[in-house]
Amino acid sequence: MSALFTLETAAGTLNAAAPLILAALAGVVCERSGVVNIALEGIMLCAAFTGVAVTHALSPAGAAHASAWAPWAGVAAAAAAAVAVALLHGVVSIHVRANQIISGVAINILAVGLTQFLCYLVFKSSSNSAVVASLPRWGAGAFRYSPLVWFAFAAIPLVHLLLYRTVFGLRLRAVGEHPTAADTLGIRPVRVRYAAVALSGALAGLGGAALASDVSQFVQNMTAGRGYIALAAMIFGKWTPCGAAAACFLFAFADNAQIALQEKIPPQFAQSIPYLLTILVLAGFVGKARAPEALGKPYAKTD
Amino acid sequence: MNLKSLWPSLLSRVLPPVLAVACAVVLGMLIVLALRLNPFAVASEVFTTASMPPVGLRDDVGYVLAYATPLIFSGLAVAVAFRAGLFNIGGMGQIMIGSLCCGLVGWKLAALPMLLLIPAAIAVAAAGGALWGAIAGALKAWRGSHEVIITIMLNFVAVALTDWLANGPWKDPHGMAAQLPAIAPHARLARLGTYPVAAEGTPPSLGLPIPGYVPVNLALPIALLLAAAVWVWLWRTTAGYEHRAVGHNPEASRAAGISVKRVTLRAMALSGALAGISASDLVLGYKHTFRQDDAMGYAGQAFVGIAVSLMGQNHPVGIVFAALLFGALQHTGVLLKTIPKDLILILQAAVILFVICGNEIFRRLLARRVRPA
Amino acid sequence: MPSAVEMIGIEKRFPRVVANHDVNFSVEEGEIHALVGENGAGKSTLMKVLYGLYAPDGGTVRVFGKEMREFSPAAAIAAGIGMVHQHFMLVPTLTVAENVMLGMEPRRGPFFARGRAETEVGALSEKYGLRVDPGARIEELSVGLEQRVEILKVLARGARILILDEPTAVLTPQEVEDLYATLRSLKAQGKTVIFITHKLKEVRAITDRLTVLRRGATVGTVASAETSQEQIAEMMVGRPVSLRVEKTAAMPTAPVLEVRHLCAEKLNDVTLEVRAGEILGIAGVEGNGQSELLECLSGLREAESGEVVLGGEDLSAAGPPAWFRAGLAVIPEDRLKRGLVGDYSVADNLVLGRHRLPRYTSTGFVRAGARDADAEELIRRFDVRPPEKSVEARSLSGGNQQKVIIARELSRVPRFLLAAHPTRGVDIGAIEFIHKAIVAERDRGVGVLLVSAELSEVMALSDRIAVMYGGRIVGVVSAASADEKSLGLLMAGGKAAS
Repeated sequence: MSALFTLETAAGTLNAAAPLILAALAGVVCERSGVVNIALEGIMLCAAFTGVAVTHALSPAGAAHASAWAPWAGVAAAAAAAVAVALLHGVVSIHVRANQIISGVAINILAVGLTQFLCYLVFKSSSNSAVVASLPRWGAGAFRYSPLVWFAFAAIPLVHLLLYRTVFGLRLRAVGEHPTAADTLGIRPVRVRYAAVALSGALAGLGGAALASDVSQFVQNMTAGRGYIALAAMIFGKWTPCGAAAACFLFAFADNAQIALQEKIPPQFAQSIPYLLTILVLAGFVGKARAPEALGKPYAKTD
Repeated sequence: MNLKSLWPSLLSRVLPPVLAVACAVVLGMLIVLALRLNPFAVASEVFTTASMPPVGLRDDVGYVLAYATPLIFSGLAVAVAFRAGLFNIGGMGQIMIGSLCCGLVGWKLAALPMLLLIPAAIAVAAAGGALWGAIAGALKAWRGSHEVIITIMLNFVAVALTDWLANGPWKDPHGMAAQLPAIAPHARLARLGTYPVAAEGTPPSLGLPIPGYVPVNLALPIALLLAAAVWVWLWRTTAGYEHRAVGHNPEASRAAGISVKRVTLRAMALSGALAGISASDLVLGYKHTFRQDDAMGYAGQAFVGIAVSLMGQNHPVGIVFAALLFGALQHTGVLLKTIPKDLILILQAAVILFVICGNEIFRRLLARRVRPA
Repeated sequence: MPSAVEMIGIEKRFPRVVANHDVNFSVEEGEIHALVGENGAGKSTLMKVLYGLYAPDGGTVRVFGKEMREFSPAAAIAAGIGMVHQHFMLVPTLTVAENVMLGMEPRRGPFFARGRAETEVGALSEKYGLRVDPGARIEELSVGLEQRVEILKVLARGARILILDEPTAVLTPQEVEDLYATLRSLKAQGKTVIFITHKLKEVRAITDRLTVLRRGATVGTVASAETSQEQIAEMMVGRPVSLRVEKTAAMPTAPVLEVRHLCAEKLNDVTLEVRAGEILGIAGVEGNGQSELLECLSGLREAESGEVVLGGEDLSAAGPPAWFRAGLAVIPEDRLKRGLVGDYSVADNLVLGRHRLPRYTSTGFVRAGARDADAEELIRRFDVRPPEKSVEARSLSGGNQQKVIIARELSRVPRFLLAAHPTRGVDIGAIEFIHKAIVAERDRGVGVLLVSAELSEVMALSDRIAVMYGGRIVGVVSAASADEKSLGLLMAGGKAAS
């Protein structure tokens, strides 16, 4: 067992957890306002590509000669692109009041197609981009990470404060539980939900940017199901920021530990842990997860 | 029947998909224009490539049918669940499990004669898919767990499980990848096309005027038969009557003595079985073995099956047409030269979004029209 | 000094009904004023006009002497009106203080000043004697405390006039006492309270004056203390109604349905008996356990204790299939929710629940021929319009939907018929038809249990009448000897005038 808790495993776990945490927090913010967000996967993917493409565009002489701020501009662009995709989901779910689950599935398909399409146009290959300049690494020893990783850890208390300590968070939770009650008190559920969806997009976008900045390039379908793992973490964490983040650490640890455990346990089993645990939680065998009351129900005043 | 009252409902069913396709076509043209290309030139390029000698369009028709086959299976799977008010987003996992089961039977039971082996392989594939769907159905019926999240999670579990099994004791000792040994030669489903020279090792073929290398096979008629069977089951059997009643109004169904739990379980199992039978196309008709990476790519088509079902308004006839349309779209992607083929994925996603928005908008327009009466 | 509320000549029409016709209603500042009447008398409509949820089609509304020109909740709140809805508008996962302050939160920068909110709510609850912990979560509170939070919400928004819509319907007797204390303290601080109710006892216990509505019109306003329960009941129910049903005397035989000491949610030791060939009517104000009783008598709700015997078989834990096998037929409370699949055709709805009979299924397939032939026959016999078996049930009028249900249920050839509000939302022509069908079943020897919120319907159809109040049967009388006044008194929780 001693091989399990090495410095490398710890460092790898934290690095792998960061994008998951940002996406899971995005899920929490969105779903607590009452909007289902299966689209996390696609939002992250779009952000990852946008970040790389913008960094590339701002580094005419190639990665080696990029100015220091190009990767930062990439992060900003990634977040902006993610907000745009999230708002597309918002319009379909909040305004048109169409099925939020199907909208999410469609956006995930869209993201795969769109990123590969654009990747081909920009980099002449739909499977991967050129290597671009990356963000600086902050930290010491084995724990030198991209600033986005550190931001992910900081985002846990920040999102917690936002949801439970601010007026906006109070209204967001009220809208996710009982939009009619909020409406009778002069709160506009539709506006609150748009704000939540946009914020959720920004967080997931930073998660996608973190993913790309880790390897300094875009690879097709590089999210590889992380959006869904984040969704699982959100449920496992019972739709709370701290719980979801804890689940992300657990899942990332399971993923990293599989390398150490390869001899004893098939790696496929370690990979399945997040999904199996989530199924058990949803089935009510492990604790009880309670989704926001109005989750997935579009709000219409006149109906 | 009063035609006046029929029209709006028929229109509301046919118009959104048609408009959605029209919108997607316009979107595609706009994207092409944005690349400073002429959309009509691109279209004519596709047709020129398609009708190139020596095979001409016969090759293309074959490919469209080949692409459409899995979409019919997964479209039917989504529709059957939808008709009972359930959303099966787990087609991918159900296809993985079904394909593994299918490859296992085709390999291990090689001693059986063809007329037993092929039905057995298909039946076990269906059973595997059904089991995977039934897990979600049972959890929904008895534990109240949301089937969407459960089926998403089961997709990943299925991929891990098949990966482990195809890497473990059942791994083909000669194969590099995670794969099972090939199925028995007589377990292969015949290709629809014709081989110019039937060499040793080529699969059996029916001799239709389609080139033999096009992988469209007997799974296509199986899919069409299943579409007919689903229609008969939903609209002509007592079980189908209960199934749709639960989908429309579970509360009234329960009050009428229908077991909503049993219907839910059966719906997910049937849906999973339909997805699992895709294995007849992938394993028996196309790859002739279970190979993990092939299966994953193929099973990913289950998500397109959601689009197909929506396009076909969850009706078997509509699904067959929608599958052909999406098959044609996917084949067009292959023929694109100046434009990345990923454009097709974008358009597929756009069609889904257009259909769900269109349905919702039409529903509201109709409600407004009916209300004052 | 102007009245707190003056509503003059209020007119409110809906597509099929006139909900308020020339209603005059006035409330003095600082009084507790009851608005009483039967279900459908127009009380809620009138109050929704006052609160701005409906705009009236005619008439004038003045609040503290100022005429209301705009009808919206925002305008009503600005004028000092607050409403406590019957179904609470509270977010269960939030705390009391959060619920009260939602939408007008005290802030510190972007942050919610929780401490200040709790202090404010605490002070408010102290001032009006509405004791509740501002930090408690709503989901942990009893219904009575939730109601206090609703009242606090209204007070925090500066309401001077409070409308309470049937506030005691959901409360235990002790909670009712606490509510009375609250209302008295509100009154002492100069607030005006409008109290919608149909329980006569509480009208006299707590209110200063009362206004009675009947069928959308004002009957009169009287001082509560100077009016007896009997007088109020007479005002509510009015003169005998002209509803007549042609029927001979009942000739009941052995009991079909026996309910003994039945307890379940909202049901408290219910014992009753329905004999073959009689109609037992259940009179009562809605929400006194009738819905739960109906569910217990059709297999949709399990009894917690007690016996429910149909045709000699104890079915207290059985599901719908066993009930139907034992001879049940149901006209459910809510047609489109429980009785019909709206998207199905009339023909498909006519076999719903009977679709497993050998006549309608063979080797797993639907026997469409038998289904369609029977559908045409039933449509003709029960005069369903339009006479089309393939139209969606949803598109029929209420009366024709009800005919479809009755046609289906009676073709079960039942021994026990459960009829819940059989003519609710049904046009006049269909009412007579439905009543005749029910009486014909009785004459065939079927035991009928009729539940209706329309006292006149219960009186016209029943052979015996049981009155339900607070989840109990508070009296059983023979229909011949029953009079509206004494029934009304029982329904309102008063003592039978013997």
